[in-house]
Amino acid sequence: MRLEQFLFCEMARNEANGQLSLIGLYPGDIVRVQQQPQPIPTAISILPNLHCVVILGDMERVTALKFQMQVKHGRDEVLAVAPETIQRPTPRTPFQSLLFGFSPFPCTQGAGDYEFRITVKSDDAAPTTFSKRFTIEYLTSTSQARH
Amino acid sequence: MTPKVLKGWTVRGDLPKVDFSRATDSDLDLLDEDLLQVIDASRTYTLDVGWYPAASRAGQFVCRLIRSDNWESPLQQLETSNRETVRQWINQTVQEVQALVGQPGQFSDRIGLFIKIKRRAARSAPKPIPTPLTRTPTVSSPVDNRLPSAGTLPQFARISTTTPTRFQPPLQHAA
Repeated sequence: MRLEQFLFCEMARNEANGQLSLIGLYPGDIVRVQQQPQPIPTAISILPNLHCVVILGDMERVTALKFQMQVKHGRDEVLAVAPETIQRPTPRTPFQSLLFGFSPFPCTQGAGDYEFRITVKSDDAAPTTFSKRFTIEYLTSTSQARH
Repeated sequence: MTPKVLKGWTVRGDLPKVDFSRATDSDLDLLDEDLLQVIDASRTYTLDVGWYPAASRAGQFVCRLIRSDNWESPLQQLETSNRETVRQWINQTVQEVQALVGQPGQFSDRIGLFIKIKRRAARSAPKPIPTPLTRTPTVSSPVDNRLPSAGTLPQFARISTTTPTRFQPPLQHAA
């Protein structure tokens, strides 16, 4: 098993023929999201929609897959989704897509670097963690105009 | 130059430092087609660097990223005569491969949203609380406006330590 893609977008959807529809794909390793500063400093800012798409390869021989998504900010864990197990139907394709949708996504720590970590375990193999970071950056109206 | 890699990775060979302006034939002999190989811990990915044509002053580095020994179809290929560019490619590609193969992990029992409250910085000075002792007495019939010396200050004027107290002399009634 290996990681093929680890993508962030605004919306993602599984199609019937195994394809994925993505809307608002964030390019690059570091994603900057436009978000106005909160009027109250202690308020939790949110992103209305954030989807994380993970595509795993070398999956022909994998019959069952257990996976869990965690989000970290620095060393602090800010979000963890319950582990799930899926049984892969036959005939088995070489790829497995996993979609994680957050509507909204709570940015509990405000602006900064968030690390998405997905832990997967195939059949009798040891768990493996793949991670990807993205940055939430507050952009003022001046900097938005510059772009 | 030996690239920095994680534990379990294998590094074979090195990148020779050759100054082409002063290189002799023996220096150029260091540049062969099998200079450096970096193999990840899972033995799936290989970074291969060679000099083509070997020992030629007009040659260049050819860097390839190979998966599962599929040498016919490299995932990446870079051709350059700049040694620094090769060094940067190796460092970046090692990080990319580390992200692709992942790292040993474990599932978490903690499920949910965890909010860490940021504490505000403490104020530098406490706000003074007004008390009758710190109020300025009103002088309605000034008889003696001379300030007394420090030794004759009334006791209540020394109580407040956070707010400067304006001292007014106590009223004196004419006999």
